[in-house]
Amino acid sequence: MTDQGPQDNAGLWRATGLYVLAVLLVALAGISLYEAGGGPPQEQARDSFFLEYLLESRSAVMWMNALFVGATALYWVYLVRPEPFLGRMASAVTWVASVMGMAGLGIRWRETYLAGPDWGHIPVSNLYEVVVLFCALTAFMYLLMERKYAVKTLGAFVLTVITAAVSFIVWYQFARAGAEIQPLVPALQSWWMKIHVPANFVGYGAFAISFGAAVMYIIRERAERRGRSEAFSVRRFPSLEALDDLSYKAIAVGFPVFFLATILGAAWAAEAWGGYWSWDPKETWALIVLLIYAGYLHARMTKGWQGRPLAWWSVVGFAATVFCFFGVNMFLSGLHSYGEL
Amino acid sequence: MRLAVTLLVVLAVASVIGTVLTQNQQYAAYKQQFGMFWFEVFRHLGLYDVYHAGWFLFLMGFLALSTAICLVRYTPALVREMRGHRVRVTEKSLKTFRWQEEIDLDAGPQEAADRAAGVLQKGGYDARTEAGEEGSVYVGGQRGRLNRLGYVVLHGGIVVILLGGLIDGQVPLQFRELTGMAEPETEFNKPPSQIPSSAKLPPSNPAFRGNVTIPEGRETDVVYLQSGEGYYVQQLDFTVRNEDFRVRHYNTGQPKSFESDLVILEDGEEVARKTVSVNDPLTYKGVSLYQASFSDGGSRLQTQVWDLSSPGGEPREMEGQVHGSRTLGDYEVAFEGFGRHEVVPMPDPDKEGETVREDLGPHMDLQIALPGGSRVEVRSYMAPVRQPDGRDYHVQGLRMAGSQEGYQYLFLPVGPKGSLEPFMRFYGNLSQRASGAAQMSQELLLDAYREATEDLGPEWGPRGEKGHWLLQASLDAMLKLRNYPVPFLITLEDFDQVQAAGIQMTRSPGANYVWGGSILVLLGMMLMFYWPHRKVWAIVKPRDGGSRILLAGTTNRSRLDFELEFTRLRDGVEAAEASGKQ
Repeated sequence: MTDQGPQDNAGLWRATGLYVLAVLLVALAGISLYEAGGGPPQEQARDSFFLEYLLESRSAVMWMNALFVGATALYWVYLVRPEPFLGRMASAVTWVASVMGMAGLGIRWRETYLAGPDWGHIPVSNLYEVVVLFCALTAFMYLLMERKYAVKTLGAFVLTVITAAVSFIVWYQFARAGAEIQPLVPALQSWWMKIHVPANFVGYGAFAISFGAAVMYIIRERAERRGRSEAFSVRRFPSLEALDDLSYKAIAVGFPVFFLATILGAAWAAEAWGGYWSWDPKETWALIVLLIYAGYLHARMTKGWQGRPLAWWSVVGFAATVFCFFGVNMFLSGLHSYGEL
Repeated sequence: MRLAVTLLVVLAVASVIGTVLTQNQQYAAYKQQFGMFWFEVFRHLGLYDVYHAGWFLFLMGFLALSTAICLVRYTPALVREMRGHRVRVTEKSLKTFRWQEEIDLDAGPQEAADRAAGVLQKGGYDARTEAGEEGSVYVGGQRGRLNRLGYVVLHGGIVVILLGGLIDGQVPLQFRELTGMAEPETEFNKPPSQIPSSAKLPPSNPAFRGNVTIPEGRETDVVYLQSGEGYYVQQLDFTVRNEDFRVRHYNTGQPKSFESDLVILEDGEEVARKTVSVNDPLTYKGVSLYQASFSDGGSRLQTQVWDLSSPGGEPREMEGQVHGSRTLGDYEVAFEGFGRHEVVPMPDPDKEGETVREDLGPHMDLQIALPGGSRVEVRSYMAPVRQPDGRDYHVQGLRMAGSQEGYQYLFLPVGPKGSLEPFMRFYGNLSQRASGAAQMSQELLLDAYREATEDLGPEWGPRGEKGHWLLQASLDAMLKLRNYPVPFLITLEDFDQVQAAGIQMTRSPGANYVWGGSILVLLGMMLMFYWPHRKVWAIVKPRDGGSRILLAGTTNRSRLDFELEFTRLRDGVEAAEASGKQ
């Protein structure tokens, strides 16, 4: 199936260490270019070649976008033509893309301090920044999973979800000028933001991976049920059992983290809004997402459900997740809109 | 157990309703939206406050109850499962296991079994051996038995969280409301002394969440709890004074912080003091006070009224207060608001095509009722605003009340020190002369202008550099003023800003249950997801001087991981044999 066998946890830790190191190096390179230049950030970005075309946060993110689109194409080509070289390329490009995204956020963190004397804040404060976080984080989590369970074909589906998010970034940046750095509204000026928001996105990312595996399960299961043993999905996808387990595994990662993120949000709300639970639409949808996946886990663990119904359940769960992430901001108003105070 | 899954799904669907239908609006808004029939239907279903509706709370309570029952029912079995350690199993049952392997070894059964147990021990298993019949030896190992405890901890945590929510859910109040002992007051703007005791809640009320507006320099010892169409008055056993409220701004004009200097008083003595801001509340006697919103607390405005029907006279002084109103002839002037800053992007005078942020400064919002019944909104800026032509103008925005469109702006040129007087005098002189003369001549015009500006010096004269502009700009402005719907112009001269802080106060003793329960849930999940209960058995039987070992394993979770682990154990057993040989 792949050119790499499954790896133990030590290998994953090594990969994580290298990833963090790469992110730090790239981010520091960008920051030091700003430090060397002096003067307002917009002008520096114009004057320094490397900043303008590579390391200024919006440029770094643009590189991430391009690389993710390329990686998606590579994963699909690899799915059709299983040559180890293509698979290695796909993974490598995804690694680099994720590093650029994370490093871009790191550089942006510095840029928020340069943009205004009292502006500095962690760049998870608007839709542009969190979608970048989503892409980089989801890719990173997927890559660890790919290494651990040697399931490269899953990449085509996970990266497709990421590419959808990338299209949003590009649209939001150019049609809505969403990439501008803005000072923080008072409600967001809290230490809790540093952990509440990233924790949420670990959850979102894990649910996206589970969704990818579930879709593959549904496709392959249908082909098998119809006796099409020569079907593309039957030949190339991981076994149904592996897909079922991967889909569950991603939820087993995402669910506790998303629960923790919601509790952190409640703790923050208790401090900022005067109550840990206000039935604000975002809160309520987070609860809905938790209830849906709790149902999934319950059905699986205590009733022994598996396979097709749970694959569909994961798809529904991810639909609710996407609504919680985007839909609430677009269609519903509430405390999370930050339109007021 | 099927019940639990159903309950989770039903709760999820029910929760959606409250996010789709905006909650806790005025009933009038719902009536308009749905019509009387559906308004009543939805009201009976409790859809305007779903999360406090009886049926929703019943579902929540049912979830808590069924979780608790499951907990009681399954805990003994789980503890047994956790404690139990069977070493002897039948070969037949091992043969049904998914992970199994038969390995031939040279060592004798006892030695091979000891080695296998050693490998399991090394792998983190609690392994034991037991001699069986016909020289065979059994090995039983298990790991992660705390997994079973995870179930208990997790579900216990959920019950604790729901209990915390129940404590803060104002259950006593809801009970009193049901039995008719408490009834919310529906008339707003009633002084606290006239509110009946059935709508008052004593300071001993264990849990509440309410709001109160405190203008600067004022105090309160109550807070208001919204309830359906009305409210309750929650009495406090202390007094809160708001000494000062501030909004700080970024250089872009966006608000940077909202903060109030609050003082807590008991029997007139100060007992606590803190500047509360968003994300930084004050807690006193279990009541937390939060900076929630702000509004105008009745700023005093000093204004001048310029008569436009017979211009030229001195302006009249008029005092006003935000939220108050004044009558001017047939016109009613309401002082709607006051703002200290308004930062807007303006064309950069130095760089073409770029904008700079400029603060237009203090301004007031008026709503003027015309005799015909229509209303106009006016925003008037206190300081003159420099326009792209490099000159200063007094600026007023004007629009019909309730209009969603932006203001139409009126620009009146100002003379030295930003004064409207030269313009108004010129306007007056011209009006007088125009009514007296049959025809307007240039001579007449210049004459009127000269008279209006004679004491301002030559540069403001009609041939002066500034005068030339003032004359032209005044004539333009007069043309515009002809369409002005009100026969007077009100300008802001001075102000004394009084702000009011919206303070939210809560007492939620259930919060600690929620935090504690959440930690239990997390802990339980960690055990359940990441600490799978794994069991491995081996039956070692003698065979031609050596032995044959049947190794089999099972787990309750995470098959992919166990696959790797089982492979490692099997390799370990084989390797132990190899090293044993050397």
